[in-house]
Amino acid sequence: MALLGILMVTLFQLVVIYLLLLIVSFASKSLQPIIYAAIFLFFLSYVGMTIIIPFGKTFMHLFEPLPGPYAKLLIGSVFLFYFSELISKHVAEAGYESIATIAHVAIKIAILSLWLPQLATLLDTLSKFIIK
Amino acid sequence: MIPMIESVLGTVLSSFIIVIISTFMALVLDFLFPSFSKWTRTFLFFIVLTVVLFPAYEHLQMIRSITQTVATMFISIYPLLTASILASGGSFSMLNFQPAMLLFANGAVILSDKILIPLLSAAMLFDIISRFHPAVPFSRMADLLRGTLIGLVSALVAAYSIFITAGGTISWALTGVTSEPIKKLISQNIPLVGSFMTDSLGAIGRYSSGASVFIGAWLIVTIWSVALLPTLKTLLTGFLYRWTAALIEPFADEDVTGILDDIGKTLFVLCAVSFLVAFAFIYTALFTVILVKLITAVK
Repeated sequence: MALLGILMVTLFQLVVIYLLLLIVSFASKSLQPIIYAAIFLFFLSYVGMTIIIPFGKTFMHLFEPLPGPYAKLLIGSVFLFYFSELISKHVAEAGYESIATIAHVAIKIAILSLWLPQLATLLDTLSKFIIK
Repeated sequence: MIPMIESVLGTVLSSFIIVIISTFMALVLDFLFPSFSKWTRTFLFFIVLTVVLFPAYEHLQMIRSITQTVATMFISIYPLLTASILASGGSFSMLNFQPAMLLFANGAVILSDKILIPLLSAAMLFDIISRFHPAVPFSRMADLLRGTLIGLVSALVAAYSIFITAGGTISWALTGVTSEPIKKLISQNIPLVGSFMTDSLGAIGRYSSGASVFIGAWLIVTIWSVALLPTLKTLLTGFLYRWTAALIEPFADEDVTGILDDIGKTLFVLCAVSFLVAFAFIYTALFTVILVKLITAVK
């Protein structure tokens, strides 16, 4: 029931934000980008706090039987990638595509470095086949 | 028997459950974040390889260490055995225990240690490469390696049975009329190595029948179970790989099921190789026991 309420509120907010942005674009063309950015970040943090992060936690909990850090790593890296993609898309929409690309590449490298220990274990197992 | 099955199920089945769960997880992630799906597949592959390769690797290592032990045992015992055969004179002539056969059996062990098992690991690596990077497929190469190994091993077992029957010992129950339907059942239902298994079991049975006159049946059963336990374990594990592949096929990536299937096939071939080693072990053990009995009986 609570989840349904949150969903309805989110949908309602989406409509309100859409109307607000339409009004802003009508009232003041020059202020529109900064208001758009502010509303985007505000909405993103709201949805993240109420829906995405709780869902991610439940999802991780669901796959707790998996050994070691695999479930946490995979789900965490997917969510990290998703947020980074969202924000860099927003920045690219504002016209700063090169900055968006740099940030996205940095996040990708961070995700890969999270996986490096696991990759090292796998390579170790594989190389055991060859050496002995 | 039961603890063996339990330990295999405990170690192997848990890793397969991990594969199934992580496949579900990847499925949900693919639905939620389609832009990440390529990397979800790659990471899923990582997880599956890390979790699943380990039991296969352990089995390879187990058979290899058994092979090395048998080979060392043979090398240390062979001069002694031949010397005592020469000393004991004609008492061996009524059985078909030739020293050349012993040399042959243990030459097969050394062959499998030096060539067969490395070739099997090569086949496994080829499979992994061709599944992980489908643009550079080595699947035919892996199949060829497995086919060659099976051919080699079955040729060796055929040679064994020729050697043994040439001596003219009486056939044991395994080749009798009553066991024929069971043999048919095994050879038809176990993929790849089924007919090979019944053949080699028949060969071992024929051999043991000559020996059971001298040493009690219980000792033969003991030696059999000691020698065949690793083989059965490997067979069971190979089956578990293929069962898991069949189980996750509807919702998993084709690569993941394919690699499980391939590892299962490789383990079946490993099972065939370990039959060879088990046979050599049985031969050497029975040989030694009979020799000791003969020497003590003469005194």
